[in-house]
Amino acid sequence: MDLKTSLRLRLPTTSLANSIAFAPRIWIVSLGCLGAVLLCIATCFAGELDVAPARIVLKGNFAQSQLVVRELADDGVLGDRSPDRTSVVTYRSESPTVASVDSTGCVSAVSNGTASITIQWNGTSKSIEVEVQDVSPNPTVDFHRDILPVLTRAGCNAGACHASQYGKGGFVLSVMAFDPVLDYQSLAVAARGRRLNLNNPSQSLILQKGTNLIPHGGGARFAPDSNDARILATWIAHGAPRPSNEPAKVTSLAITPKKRIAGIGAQQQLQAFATYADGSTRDVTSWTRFDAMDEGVVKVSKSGVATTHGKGQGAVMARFANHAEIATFVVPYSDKADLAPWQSSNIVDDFAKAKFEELGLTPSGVCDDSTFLRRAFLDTIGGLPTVDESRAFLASTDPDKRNQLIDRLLGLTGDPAKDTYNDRFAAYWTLKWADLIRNNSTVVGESGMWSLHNWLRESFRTNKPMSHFVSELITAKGSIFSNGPANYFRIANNPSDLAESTAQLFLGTRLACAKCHHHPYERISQADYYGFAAFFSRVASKSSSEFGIFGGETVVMVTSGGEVSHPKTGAVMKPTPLEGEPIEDPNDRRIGLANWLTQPSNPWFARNIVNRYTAYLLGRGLVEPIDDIRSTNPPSNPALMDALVAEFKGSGFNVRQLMRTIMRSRLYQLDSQPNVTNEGDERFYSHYRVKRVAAEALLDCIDDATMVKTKHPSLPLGTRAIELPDAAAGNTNPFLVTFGKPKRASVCECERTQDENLAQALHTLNGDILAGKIADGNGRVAKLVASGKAVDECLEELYLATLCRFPTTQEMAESRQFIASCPSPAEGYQDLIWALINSKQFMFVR
Amino acid sequence: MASHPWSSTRPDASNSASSLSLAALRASSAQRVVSRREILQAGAAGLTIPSFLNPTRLLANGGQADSEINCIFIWTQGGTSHHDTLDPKPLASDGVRGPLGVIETAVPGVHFTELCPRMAKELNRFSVMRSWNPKNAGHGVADHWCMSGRNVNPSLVYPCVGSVVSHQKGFKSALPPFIQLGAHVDRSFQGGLPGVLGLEHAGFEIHAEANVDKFSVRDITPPLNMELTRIDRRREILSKIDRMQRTADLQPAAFDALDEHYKTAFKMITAPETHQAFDIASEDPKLRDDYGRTSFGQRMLLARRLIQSGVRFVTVSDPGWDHHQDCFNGLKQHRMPQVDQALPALLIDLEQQGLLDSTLVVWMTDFGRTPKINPAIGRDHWASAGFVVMAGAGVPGGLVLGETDAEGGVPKSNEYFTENIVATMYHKLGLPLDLTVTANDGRPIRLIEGEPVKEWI
Repeated sequence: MDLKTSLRLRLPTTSLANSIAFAPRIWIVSLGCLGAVLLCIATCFAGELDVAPARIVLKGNFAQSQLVVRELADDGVLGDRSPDRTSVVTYRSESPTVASVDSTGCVSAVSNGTASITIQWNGTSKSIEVEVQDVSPNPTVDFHRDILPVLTRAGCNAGACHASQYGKGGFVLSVMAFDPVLDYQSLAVAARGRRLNLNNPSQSLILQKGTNLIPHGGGARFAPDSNDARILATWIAHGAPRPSNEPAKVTSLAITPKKRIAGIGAQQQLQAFATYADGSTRDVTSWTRFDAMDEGVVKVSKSGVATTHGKGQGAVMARFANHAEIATFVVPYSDKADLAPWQSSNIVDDFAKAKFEELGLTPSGVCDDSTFLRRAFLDTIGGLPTVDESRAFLASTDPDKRNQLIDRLLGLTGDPAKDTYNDRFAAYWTLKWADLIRNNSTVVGESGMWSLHNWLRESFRTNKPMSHFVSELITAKGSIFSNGPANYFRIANNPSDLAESTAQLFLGTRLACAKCHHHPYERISQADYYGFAAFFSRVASKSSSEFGIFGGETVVMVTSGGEVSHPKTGAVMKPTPLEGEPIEDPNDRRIGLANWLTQPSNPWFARNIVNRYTAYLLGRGLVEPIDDIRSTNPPSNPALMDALVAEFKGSGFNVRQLMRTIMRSRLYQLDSQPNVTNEGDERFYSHYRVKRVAAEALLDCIDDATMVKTKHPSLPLGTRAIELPDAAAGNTNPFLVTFGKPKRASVCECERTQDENLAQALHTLNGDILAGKIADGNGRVAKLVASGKAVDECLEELYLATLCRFPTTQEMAESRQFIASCPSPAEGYQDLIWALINSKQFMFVR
Repeated sequence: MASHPWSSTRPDASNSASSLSLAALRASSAQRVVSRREILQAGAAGLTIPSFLNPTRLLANGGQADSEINCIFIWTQGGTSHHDTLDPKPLASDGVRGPLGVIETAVPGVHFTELCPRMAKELNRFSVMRSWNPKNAGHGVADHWCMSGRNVNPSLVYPCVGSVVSHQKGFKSALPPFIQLGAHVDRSFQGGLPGVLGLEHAGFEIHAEANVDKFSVRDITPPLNMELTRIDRRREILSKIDRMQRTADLQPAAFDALDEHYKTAFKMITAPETHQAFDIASEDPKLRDDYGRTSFGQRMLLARRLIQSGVRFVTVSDPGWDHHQDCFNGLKQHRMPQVDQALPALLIDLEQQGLLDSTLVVWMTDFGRTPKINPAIGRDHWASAGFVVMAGAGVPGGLVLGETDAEGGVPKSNEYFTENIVATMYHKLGLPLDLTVTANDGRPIRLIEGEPVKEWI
């Protein structure tokens, strides 16, 4: 609340004081009250109340306004931590015939005029003015403005009730009132209008059932004498007028307060304000649906009173008229985070630190060199350093060695002689994006699959800006053999699928709900869905005989016709980006989409890419699920998200640069060992989140550790598993199947199942593939034995080859003892490398 | 919630740093102390210990955890033609009847086709429902529906009965509670999967050929003929290495999950009952002959052995029943003989071993096939009629339930649906009919609806 709308009272209530408070401060001084004021400033701030809104205007018979009363801090400033006193103060209307107020601070209009509401607490009392207008003996009740919100608030049109597929008891409503035409039909016309009694409104079925005066499966949704019942009754009494053809449109919804920081068991009344197309704003708290998004942290009552329950950060969602907004609640983990050792390296660290301070969350310390080495290699190129590379890194005393390693792995040193990992980097990220794009020879044929694979690989090898990448992909046409990205239009080949895949991959949003109805959690409507699908309605493909009639070549082309219609209204949809205006490109509608996606002001694309890469590196996206970005699913650290997005756009959508920024931060380099205070944190990166090494990378690591390569079918020996272009191996290679290589049937990130399971455990503990590599006559163990090296040297090599570090003194001693106890050194080394590979430090990126 | 691709977010129980000594593991199953940390972890974040590791949760779920009836579920994938097996229509026209002859069975007035001589003779050991209405003619959908009792639902995957048993009852011995023999279950519509119950309740799949002298199972039978002593030694050093890697008592939850899986895996690898179960070679050769020296036959024998070794639910899957063409020859030469031989053999064997009362045997298939024979001398998918066989666990033998019309197209009496079949299985296995579980997003999901087949209860 800013100064204009809230009243800070530092003196007992008098009209003089009121005018003083509204006057500029210099006049307070000049009025000679300085002494008294100064005294009060010194002693009276704590315990003083802030009442919002400071002045209420209620228009109409049914208007209501929810007060929020908060206690100021010692410095007199209203902040995120100011306690909420709304439910403990007492309210009294000085003119109850004009406006009434209940014990929760809800002010209702009674008759025209002005009234004063007195708020008392703890010996102090405040007063605010209420002006009531437009109360009439014959009030107008508008279907869109008044009736639909009543039904929504009462829960009548929830998906589990009358908005289920066949409704309940034959009464069908649209979910969250997204289809007013249907709703009016059901309410006033269908079934011979049995739900309304125009002659005797209170006998209407809708009221009798809604109040449970007649037994109602849904129970009592509102009281017979409630405001909502009166609204319905009045509308019915007026003959249940039809909704207007040009209803007043809500342009935005605002919740206050947007953020609250408190301990467990704190309450906060929320308010909701709707702004209409004509610029007017009204308090709609009484008709807003409040839902808790993280019940473990904060719960909320129907009337918008949130109560904190557990530590962490949670959101409350408010929905009104197909708009949804959130309020964030932070319940710190402790009073004070210990951030003394923290040294910020870059913007990531700055914002992370701010979040830790807010949450009272003490992060773990920085990881050691060997942990960093292995982690960086696996996260960037999906492979391990060689024994020599590990030795060199660990031995180096250069204080900047970590940054240099990052640059070498990402190919950003500027010196081609040092950027030696470029191909492996490209291979690894090709694998990732091929999974998402679902490159699969069973869908596009062998040649199509290779063509797309090669294009992907080239894109990542040359660090193509993501803006170019997505543009080339979604505007591709031509032969699927010669133009890799054209395969995108064979993998999904109708406007619906293309719209959903494109939205999920590049906007990070799941459109699918909106195909059939308004998205329940946000603004996206069916019209939005089909407007988006219209971008893809003029793409077709036909087979070509270039490679013979069974050659399988297909040509993707743009057609001059092809439309998408809204399934309910039948209207032809113009290609319209989400929350935007229609775009018509005369040549190829997809070009319009590509331009919209990549323009600097687009709020979706950069955010989605940034979010994905934070997930790939830090183990969890700022928004989770990673492809479910929406206003009601906020990032865990909005400021960090915004900063990374700005940097990403500024760098020209340079993904390697983005990775570099993240990896250089202290946040990325934290140890995965949790401390007692941050053990429960899964969201704020207070310790590095361990993750399983992905199936393909794991196989490669095992190959490298044992020095026995896997021969992949139809590919030359030496091809790594991360280089496999196709999905097929996800069905045939037993190791890859067991460890969850995706079959590329879904664009969802969740297709790669990463849960550890029994079959995986059995496979590495007891499987023949690993056992065979370890025992191989040309493998590492055999070579070590043949080399005649001393035991200690061999042990060192085994540790370096698997865990990228030297054994500790204790490990050395135990291992020596173990080798000595085995029938032969060969068996001993085999068993030891087997154990190292099965240990957690090998299996996980940590 | 989708878990991040390259993370492990398994909020599972920790194990108190228990010694992995062989003796401790060889001690018989599942009595484990729930550590204080597990309770804190489970409570604090609303996370739960996987149920198969927590005995106390089983009873809280309301299952009759003490009902010890196991199940062998035979799945002939593709849609076994009912006209040409258990529901012949010898009086129908040429285009419907088919070339196969009919034979009498042990029940007067009931006939099977000539492909089922042994089953005909042993009809008093099992019951056949001829009045099953599958209401579905799609592969994949059938696998889901018949195994879970629910039609395919785009917003959630219902668990198959085996997974429900695993979830409700957990491990009985070192072997997983739910095992699938053969890979012949169509997953296109998430059939035969644990769905909302979570991956840990997936059936453990064994694809190895059972019709061999020496049976070995990938990843369970030690590789390279490694001896148990060496496995023990390896386990010791792994446990030492793990202990040394562990820098503090606290470790990421994902590590705890791996610990649990390793423990279970080792138990499986080293437990005598595992090797016992897989040691088919030790079976009397005459018995192996009686089951039939076929892939299917030996799998049925293996199923009995698995039940005896503590497995609660075994799916025996068999491929190749989708006879759109060459139906009669295909059934006669390649498919029906092994089932006709092995199913009665199993029932006789179970009875002789005293296991019949505690083992429910079910034979289901995708759907029936068309009354009208097609130009490829086959039959196509038929959504309106089919058969189901049940035996054991109190199912009355010799009962032929319901009948189809003259053409074998539509049930005429005692029509039952897939949900009734699965409800019967739930009832027999001691699972509550109104069993409700919580999905990942907190929704309560009622697993099945429908009444059991009263004639089979």
